[in-house]
Amino acid sequence: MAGAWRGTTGTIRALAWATKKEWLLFVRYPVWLVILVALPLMLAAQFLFQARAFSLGQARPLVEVTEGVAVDYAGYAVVGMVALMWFALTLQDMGMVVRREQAQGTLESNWLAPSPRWLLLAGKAALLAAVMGLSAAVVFVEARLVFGVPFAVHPVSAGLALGLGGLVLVGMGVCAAGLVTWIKEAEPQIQIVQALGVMLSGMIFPVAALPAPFQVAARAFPLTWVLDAVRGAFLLGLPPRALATELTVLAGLGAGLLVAGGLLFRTGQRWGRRTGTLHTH
Amino acid sequence: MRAAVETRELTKVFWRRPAGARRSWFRRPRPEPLRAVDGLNLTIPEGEFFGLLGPNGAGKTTAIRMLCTLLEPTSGQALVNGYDAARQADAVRASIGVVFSSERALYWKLTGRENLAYYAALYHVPPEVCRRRIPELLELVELADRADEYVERYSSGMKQRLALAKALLNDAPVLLLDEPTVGLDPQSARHVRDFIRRLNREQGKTIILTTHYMEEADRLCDRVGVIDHGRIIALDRPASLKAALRQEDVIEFQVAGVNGRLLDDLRRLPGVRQAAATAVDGPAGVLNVRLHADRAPDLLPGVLGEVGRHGGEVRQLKVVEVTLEDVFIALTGKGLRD
Repeated sequence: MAGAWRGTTGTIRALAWATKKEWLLFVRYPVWLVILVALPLMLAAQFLFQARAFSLGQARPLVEVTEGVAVDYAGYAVVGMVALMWFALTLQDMGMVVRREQAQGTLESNWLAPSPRWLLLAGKAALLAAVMGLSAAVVFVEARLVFGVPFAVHPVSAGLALGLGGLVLVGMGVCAAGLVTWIKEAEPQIQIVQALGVMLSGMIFPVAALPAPFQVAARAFPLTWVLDAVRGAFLLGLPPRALATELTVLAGLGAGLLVAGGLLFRTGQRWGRRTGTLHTH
Repeated sequence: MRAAVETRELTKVFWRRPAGARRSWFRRPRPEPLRAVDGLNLTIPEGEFFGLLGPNGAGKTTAIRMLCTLLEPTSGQALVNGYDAARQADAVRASIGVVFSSERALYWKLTGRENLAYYAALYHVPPEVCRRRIPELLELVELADRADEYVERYSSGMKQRLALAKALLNDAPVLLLDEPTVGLDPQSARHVRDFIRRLNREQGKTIILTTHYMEEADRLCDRVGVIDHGRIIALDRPASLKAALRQEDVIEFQVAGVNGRLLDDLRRLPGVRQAAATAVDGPAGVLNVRLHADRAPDLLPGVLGEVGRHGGEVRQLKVVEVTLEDVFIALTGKGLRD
């Protein structure tokens, strides 16, 4: 094709436009202000008031995160709530991105172009990274300034925990998107995974509070490791060396989930090409 | 001349569970094969305006979907611009522009210009080319003054013109247009037809158009292939297809107030070769009937007698020129909109 860009440069520009498209579509519906500001403020406030109630008006309540190490419960719960928000956004938005494009009729016109088909997911992932970062910042400021939550941040560990944790979340989102290309109506399954996340991963109470078999299951749930790393970096101020196990597991899980999700996605869209179900919804 | 599109025994079989079959937790009805496209052989030279005609469900859209890589053939081969649609999908995608009948291929919350810029990036059109081509295309489809409005504010015709502009972004040599005028008002449809004819005549694009509007194919196409049950049953220039039927007369009339058996009785009249009827838009119970006969004058008294016997009233009876619709009726025994 005359004048066409081949290879990496063209793909990078396509990715930039895929991200810009997602951003424009996000901000052109009035719900963006709710997602970025109102919802994080309200959700975080629930946990912060709950923590205040637990204190019985005396000292701030603590929660033991590992044996002999306790942190402020308000900070603990707020980090868990932010992670829950990230988790839900990733599964629902990334998982359902193919489905939404299919329902609005734009999936085929995207996939008729000679760009990689994962661009749709990548554009959504980039938007989500921005949304999650902004909403987490809103919660952080609220918790620190309004409720006086004591954060102890180690910047390097925080960067690593967020980066590798984000990789795990994106991996789970790609897996969900891959499944959606097969089963289409995946809302109930996604909600079950979310409920499992709330119960198993130590979002609002420590994993140690679970019965022993559930604790084993919790360790198999990727979000548990994300929360451990993020809390270690943001509440305990641990250096990367102290979080080596969590960060290594996150790197492995992230890579594994991305590969598995990529395979599911690729096989799903190949199946769609064979059965003629790409345009049906 | 080099072939822009070539298919060799192209076949697509879908497996579908029979409609209405009972299914339970323990027993699911066995899927049955449906040959949507059945051994399609076509050679379309560069620069040709080719029409693929057929009723709904004939296999037109399935054929187009295989050519544009959205569907994988069950067997056979499709070559587009020299590339294999199954094995060199990206090269095929870079060689084609596609418009489907629905205007939903666009993002309604983006402006027309933003839609084109987004798709241009997906087609790897360099920024300096975009800066020139997008305004040109917007001018070409007469949307320049509405380019910065959200697509949700466009009419159906405007959306379809923007979809055409999108298909031209990568300056592809082959355009696949799947019923591009369906659902458009007559003025918008004419606008789109004029535009795609100019693309073929002035820019030399190879165009494959699927339609069930006979007049559209007759006016636009260099050659047409008539497809029914997934197979090409006739392939020639529109004039040649019609010439083959010239030994027949075609009587067309509207009739009101008759029951469904009239058509069967008309078919039994001596000298009638084919008969087809379609409901007329507007008043209920009015049919448009076309009869193919050896000699119209000999047949008219019998036709009027049958209509009277069925309690009907004839309106606007005329002997008309053979059209592609008549070719289709003669080939398949049914109307295109059946």
